[in-house]
Amino acid sequence: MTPGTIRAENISRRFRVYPQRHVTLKEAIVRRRHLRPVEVWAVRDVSFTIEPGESVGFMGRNGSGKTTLLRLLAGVFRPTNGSLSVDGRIGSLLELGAGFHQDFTGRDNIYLSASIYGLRKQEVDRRFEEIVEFSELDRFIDLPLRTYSAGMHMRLGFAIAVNVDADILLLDEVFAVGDEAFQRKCIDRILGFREQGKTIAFVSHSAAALERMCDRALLLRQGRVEYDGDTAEAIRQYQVLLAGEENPAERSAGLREWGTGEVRVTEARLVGADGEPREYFATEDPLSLRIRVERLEETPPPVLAVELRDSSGALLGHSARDLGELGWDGQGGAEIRFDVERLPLVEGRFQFNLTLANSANGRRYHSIEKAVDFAVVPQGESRGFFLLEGDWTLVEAVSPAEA
Amino acid sequence: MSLYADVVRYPDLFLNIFRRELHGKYRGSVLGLAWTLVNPLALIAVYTLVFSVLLKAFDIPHYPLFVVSGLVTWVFFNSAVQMACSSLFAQPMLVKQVRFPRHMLPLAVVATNIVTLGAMLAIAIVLNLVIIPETRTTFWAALPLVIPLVALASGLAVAFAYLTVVYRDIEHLMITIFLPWFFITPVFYTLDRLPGLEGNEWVADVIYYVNFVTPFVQAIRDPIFFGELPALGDVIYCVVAGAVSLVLGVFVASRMDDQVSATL
Repeated sequence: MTPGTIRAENISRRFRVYPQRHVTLKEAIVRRRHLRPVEVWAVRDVSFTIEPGESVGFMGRNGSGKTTLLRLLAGVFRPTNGSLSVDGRIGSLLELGAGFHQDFTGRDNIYLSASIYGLRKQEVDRRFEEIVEFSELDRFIDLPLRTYSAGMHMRLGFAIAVNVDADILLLDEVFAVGDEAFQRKCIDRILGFREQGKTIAFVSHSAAALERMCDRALLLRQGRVEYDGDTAEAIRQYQVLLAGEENPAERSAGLREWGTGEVRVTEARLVGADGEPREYFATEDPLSLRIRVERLEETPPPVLAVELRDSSGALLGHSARDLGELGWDGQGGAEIRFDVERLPLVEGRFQFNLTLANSANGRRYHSIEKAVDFAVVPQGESRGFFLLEGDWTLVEAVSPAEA
Repeated sequence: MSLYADVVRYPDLFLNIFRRELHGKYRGSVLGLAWTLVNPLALIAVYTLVFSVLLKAFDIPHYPLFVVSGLVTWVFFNSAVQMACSSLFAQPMLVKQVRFPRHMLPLAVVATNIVTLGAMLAIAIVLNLVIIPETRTTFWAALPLVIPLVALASGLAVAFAYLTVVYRDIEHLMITIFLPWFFITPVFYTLDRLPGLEGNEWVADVIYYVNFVTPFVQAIRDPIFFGELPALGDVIYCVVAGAVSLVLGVFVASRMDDQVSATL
């Protein structure tokens, strides 16, 4: 096979999970009944072929087997059943800075880590300049690693990992490290890999990243392949899968939009007092959120919830209304207004998240994170997030003679 | 056996991991190496004081040199195996996320201990050469015996590094085992000068044949301290024990390689 080919035929991987965190020698010898391991099949009967030059995304909820699959591709362990062949040198971004030693200089760590990835000294010599340049650490390269910040540490790790001259690149969720400029550089480098015709296997929750990186995606569910094909379709199926999720933390799982899709928000915009679309507001300005919804399948009128969040995602306020009570019969579409007479915000960037859900059972039809975002500029003396209003009164003045 | 050959097959990788371990052990300084010699020196001082001066238990001439000549073997074996136990366990991300010949980790630990062994052996030989003239014609015989000794430590180091990942209590077990083990190894006494063995010769046999470190201690001490060539029986025992240990290492590592990365 040509380098860069991955062929998996009916691979499965079983783990033995012990009820206790640690197994001790004593227990292994005595083999008490309740210590029998539980068998977990993390990957079940998975088959696929990835040709050189393909970028394939692996998506699925936590515990669906995507990380196990990536570790199988990396060769960390072997499949329990089935056959897996991975041809060519593997570049793994699963563990940045593998084997780094805190007391070694950046230079020594480059040689150390690169040798763990399988490079010989001469190969590292040739790439050394490139690695240093990419990491932007030329001034610090002869200082011990313990003097580096966390960001510098990651940058060095990334620079080594992408310079091992791999045929196959394995990427985990968080491959973009460092500040925004460096993140862009990381993504550019990975997109460059694609253009060079290298194979990329990429695990992510982020629909945007998957769509940008991958032509094809595999959706995993409980260790099996639920869907294998076009990325956009895989994301759509994933969104439906997530709508049934109970755990709110996992429900969004990094996606901007998800839901079962019977009713959808088709448009959301902010307008000012003059009725014109706006992105900037001043404190105490009137603000109006205009939302269009559309019904695609037979459902009772949903509840529309609006969440106000700050730029870090912290929830600042929440308001919800049953659209049936508002007077929509749930047929066709509707336009809804949410008016704030005096904006109680002072300064910063904010966003509205929108959710359409069934009023009775909470089934999520459509959720959009950051449906609209806007900035607020302060007016007057006020500072902070929200407008703190209160009355100041002098209760009593005490004269020096009395005190 | 290709497991051990990997050291030569991936020289850059091994050298880098070795340097890493060395740095951890000696903090990258010559003084660091000196520090690791402090512990054996303290032991020598205490045993000389207690057994030779206070108890007058053994009338072995040059008793401190006698102790150092046996301690060389023991300290290497003890620290190589004990330190190697946690070598995989202490690097979970490396074992879990990266494919590389991970048996290099315990082998690198053994290699760093060869440095200490070399230093101690050199000191012991030089002192003996100066003080005990008989050793001048025989000391060379100890040098080839370092090979089976390293083999013994390497095989066990690999085996226990893998086992410790799955059975966490092995590390504690080692700490418990090595102290009594030291006492039943003839480092500060010899098996032929024990008054309590009258009528209990079988005890000496057990210490001799079951405790597989004994032949190594004796075979290396004979030429560098007593000025005698090592007994042929000891030499054969050492070679066989070294080979068995290497096979054990391969057996454990090949059976547990997959389990180790899945467990951590």
